[in-house]
Amino acid sequence: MTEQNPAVKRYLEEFRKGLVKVEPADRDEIVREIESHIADALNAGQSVAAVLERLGSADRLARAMAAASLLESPGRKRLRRWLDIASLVALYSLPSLLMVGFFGLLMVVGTVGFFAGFAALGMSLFRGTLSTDVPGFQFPGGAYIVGVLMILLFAGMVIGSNKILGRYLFYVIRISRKVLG
Amino acid sequence: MQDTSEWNSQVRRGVLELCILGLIEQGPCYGYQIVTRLAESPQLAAGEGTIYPLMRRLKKDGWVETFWQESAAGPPRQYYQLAEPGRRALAAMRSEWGALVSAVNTFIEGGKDHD
Repeated sequence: MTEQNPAVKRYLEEFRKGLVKVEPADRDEIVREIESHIADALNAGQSVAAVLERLGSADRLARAMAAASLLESPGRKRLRRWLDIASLVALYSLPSLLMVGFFGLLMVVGTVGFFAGFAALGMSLFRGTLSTDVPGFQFPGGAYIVGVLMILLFAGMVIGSNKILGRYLFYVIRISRKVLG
Repeated sequence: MQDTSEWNSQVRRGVLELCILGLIEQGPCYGYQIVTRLAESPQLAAGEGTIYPLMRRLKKDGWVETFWQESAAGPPRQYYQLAEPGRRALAAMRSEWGALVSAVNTFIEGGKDHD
């Protein structure tokens, strides 16, 4: 049968390789169909060379079949659209807004703390003392350390909440655009 | 005659789907059959590399359905038949086609006698 001819075998192997991105079930069906085509063509009296030439390069044919195969079916498109609408509703609901509020607040607190840290640092350097005046926190270099720690901590808070908020907002914008067209 | 091969291929690509749907409407066909029948009209110049991917797309879109059938002379064959959406699409394309041909004719009828 067709599998016995080495040129056909090679062609089908290369063809199958080009379909690696396609689902296995679809891939088998595609390869079987081309095998069947080759068999019919040979039975009709065409030469192997002619059949394979008319099919075109195995790689090119595989790419064209894969492209057609990977299209979304109408049912799946509809489902995806409903999921998008659902996520949009969730995104504009109260819990979502609370989350935005929370990270917004975190950013504000972080920014304030960040500058408070600089203030503490500046004050300690200006006073020329490196000891803290905070009761219960008597240790040498206290204000300096507190200042640096506050700067680092609150810088982290600002950057972190900024990133989260930014990503979240971009996500909301992207979904909104997709659903609302 | 002037070379219009580029224009031809553009037009051909547009009508191939319509031709295939019309062909399948007459009865289920398998790939090699479709290729052979279309090859009888060289103006369509549609080869395997165009037809098979197109059939796959029609199937993905739900316009055609397929079934495998044993053949006496070789491996089983995948047959294509019109599905309901395909039937409706064909009917719509048919009327569109008539209107399109009329429209084009009104523009080109005039110069018919000069060549």
